[in-house]
Amino acid sequence: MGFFDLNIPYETSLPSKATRMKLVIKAMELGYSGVAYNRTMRGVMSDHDRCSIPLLSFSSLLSLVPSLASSVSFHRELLGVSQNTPFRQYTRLTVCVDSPAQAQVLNSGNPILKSYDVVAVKPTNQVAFDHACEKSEVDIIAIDFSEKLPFRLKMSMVKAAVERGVYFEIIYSDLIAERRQMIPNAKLLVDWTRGKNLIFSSAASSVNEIRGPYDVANLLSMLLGLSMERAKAAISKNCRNLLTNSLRKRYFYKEAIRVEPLSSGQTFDSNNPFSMDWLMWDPISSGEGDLQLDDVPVAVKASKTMKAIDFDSIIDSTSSHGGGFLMGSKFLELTPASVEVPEKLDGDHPLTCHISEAPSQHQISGSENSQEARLPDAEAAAIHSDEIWRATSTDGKEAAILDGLENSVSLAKTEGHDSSLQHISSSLSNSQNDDSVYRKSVMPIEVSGNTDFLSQIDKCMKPQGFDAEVDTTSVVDQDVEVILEPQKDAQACTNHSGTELMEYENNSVSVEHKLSLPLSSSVIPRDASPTANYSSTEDVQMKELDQREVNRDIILLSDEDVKDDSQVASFLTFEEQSSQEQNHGKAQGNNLTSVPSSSGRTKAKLKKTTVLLPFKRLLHPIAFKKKGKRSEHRRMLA
Amino acid sequence: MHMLFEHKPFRWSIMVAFKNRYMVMEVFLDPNRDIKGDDSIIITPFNLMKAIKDSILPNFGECFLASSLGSLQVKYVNPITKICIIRVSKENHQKVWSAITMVRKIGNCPAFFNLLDLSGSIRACRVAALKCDEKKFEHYKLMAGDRLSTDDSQRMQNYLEKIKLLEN
Repeated sequence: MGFFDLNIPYETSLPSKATRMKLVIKAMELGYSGVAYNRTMRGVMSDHDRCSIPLLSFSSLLSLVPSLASSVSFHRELLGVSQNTPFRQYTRLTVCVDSPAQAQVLNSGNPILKSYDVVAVKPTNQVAFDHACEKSEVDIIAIDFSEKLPFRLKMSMVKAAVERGVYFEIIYSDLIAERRQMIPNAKLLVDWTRGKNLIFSSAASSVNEIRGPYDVANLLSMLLGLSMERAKAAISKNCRNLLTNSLRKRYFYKEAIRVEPLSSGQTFDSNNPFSMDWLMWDPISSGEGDLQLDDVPVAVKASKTMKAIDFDSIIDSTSSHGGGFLMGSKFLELTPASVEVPEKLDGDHPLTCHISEAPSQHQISGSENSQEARLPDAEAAAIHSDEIWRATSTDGKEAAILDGLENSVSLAKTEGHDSSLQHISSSLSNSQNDDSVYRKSVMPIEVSGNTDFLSQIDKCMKPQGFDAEVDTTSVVDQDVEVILEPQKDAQACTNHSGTELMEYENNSVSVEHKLSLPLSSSVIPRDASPTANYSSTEDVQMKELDQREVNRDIILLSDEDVKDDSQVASFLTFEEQSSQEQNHGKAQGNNLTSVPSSSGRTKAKLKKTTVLLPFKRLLHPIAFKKKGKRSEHRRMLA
Repeated sequence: MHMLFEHKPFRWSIMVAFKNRYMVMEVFLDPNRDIKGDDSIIITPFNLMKAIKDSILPNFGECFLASSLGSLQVKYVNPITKICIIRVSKENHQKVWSAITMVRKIGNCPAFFNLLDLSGSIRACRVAALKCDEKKFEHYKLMAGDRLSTDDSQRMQNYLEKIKLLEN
């Protein structure tokens, strides 16, 4: 938790620079971990208003106050702020608006606003206030409570602003400077926002008007009837959230994708995923504004040169030299890539796989061609294997719970299924050997024992946007053979598939999110007749079953009914961490239908999944939410 | 009905002990001046008390001032490190704290307070104050550089002893 003061006045005149430095020093000393330099603007916006606020360097501050670092650490310790967090500087523009025409300037495309970290609006009449609350693309609505308000605060407007995530600013230096008429109006605002979207800031014109974070929280909670908790949030958490949002708006395209120029010598290394950097991503870093107080390794900083994507330049650059830009995680909307698979199957003969991918303007990969071509395949593979894990793991679990472990019949049944799982994994790995990723994705579907299911491949492929044309008949013909033959190489080859999938994990996740809905529709009939599935696989596989594997399955099965299904998936496919992770949520969703007794647990787990920031989501994939709902609905129908 | 008029014996358990809050605060004197420089005034319990009272009176009124004066006291002041300990009753402490926050000058010198620690007993307060005082003295030494005399260290030791002897 850090404390922020998002209003340190900035004026261009020379003496104000000394004041600003003193203010910053004092803010640092008082334990704040960030300030924003506020430039107030009136009238028509021009290019002259582009951000030109010079950020201060730590050494210049240190030359004024040699004991600054120790003083800062002393106060931070008292406030419970981490010593490692840098002191952050942001730039802020406050636009005074008194006509609707001026308010039009505050849109998301305005390049001048983009040059500032935070944008605030100061409405000076009713129309401007209403517009600011309802439409303006700003982070803060600054209301000058020190004078008589030129407009009426309206509850509907305040609510609209809160819903849009705009914050209201209350300036406390008015209170200290004995301008008490602010209290009634500010209190009204506090009541209506319930302290939610409020920030407190100093707007101190001299050092004497700035106060420590806890003093501010107490003062305003006392005078405005806010709880201490909310008041504290208003100078710490709310400010942080505001900064996260505004910086995301500024540096990310559509608040989700960040583009960084890649140096020409650097190539994309699939073993060292680019996204690993995002683990260290600092959401409130403004780049050069961070003042590191001591020599602690810094989190990844945003660079100032970086801008939100303008697509024209990227398209140009990719068409010319194919590289140079690297998408933050390549999870942009994939244009429908048409995948054609001429099936020519004899046993486990390698499949030839032709992928003609429509050159997507969104998908820009810095790597070579093959990388690009294999990307959708990996996604498809992940999706399909994913689905099978979902189906089989629940089957196994169902059987185990229904009949208990002592029942030999049910054991045989579950063995049958689990061994079919083995086949799946083996076929997965086998096809991996054949270097045909697409086959990997298609094969498991039929292998899982349900030939009827094949007819639905088309159904489920079409809405995915892959537009696959699978030669269904030929696949059906060699159905049984394919199941059995890859089994031989099962143990030998599993490693490959695991590592391979890991590489593509990041790529496939987001697509998986998008596509899971159509997939589930195709699964429904299969779930509806689980016994049919059992018999079909059982018949074939019981004969061929390797005794060793049976034993292994039994042992693992005994674990199965105590552990949750994610572990089931993990023992079967411990190499395939990635698909298992994606599967996790889905298996839960399915579990709700088959095992009502454990639904409480799975529900709790579903709740636990939090919505992460765009890039963290890639690293910790979570299930598509509608999945759970859907299966719940199905359970209700059953 | 008879229950209402029944005589009830007075019970001690109803009484709640009177509680104080101890605030360790630091004073920033003349923050606008150039940072390296001598202080224009020397803080004492008396001028601090006066500044606090002068802030309470316009902000919260005479009644509140009178009710808070019973327990309000500046227990300790260290003019070297500018640390002070202010005692105030528990009921009033938030308002008094707000009033202290709104202090803008001590005597004629611009100044403001900053809370370092808030504790409910003198023992906890002593620990916190000692820690803060020592840390602040380190800063003082850094700022003063070679101007630091042995006299100052001696005085500092006396002040630290004073904190240890604080009661109620």
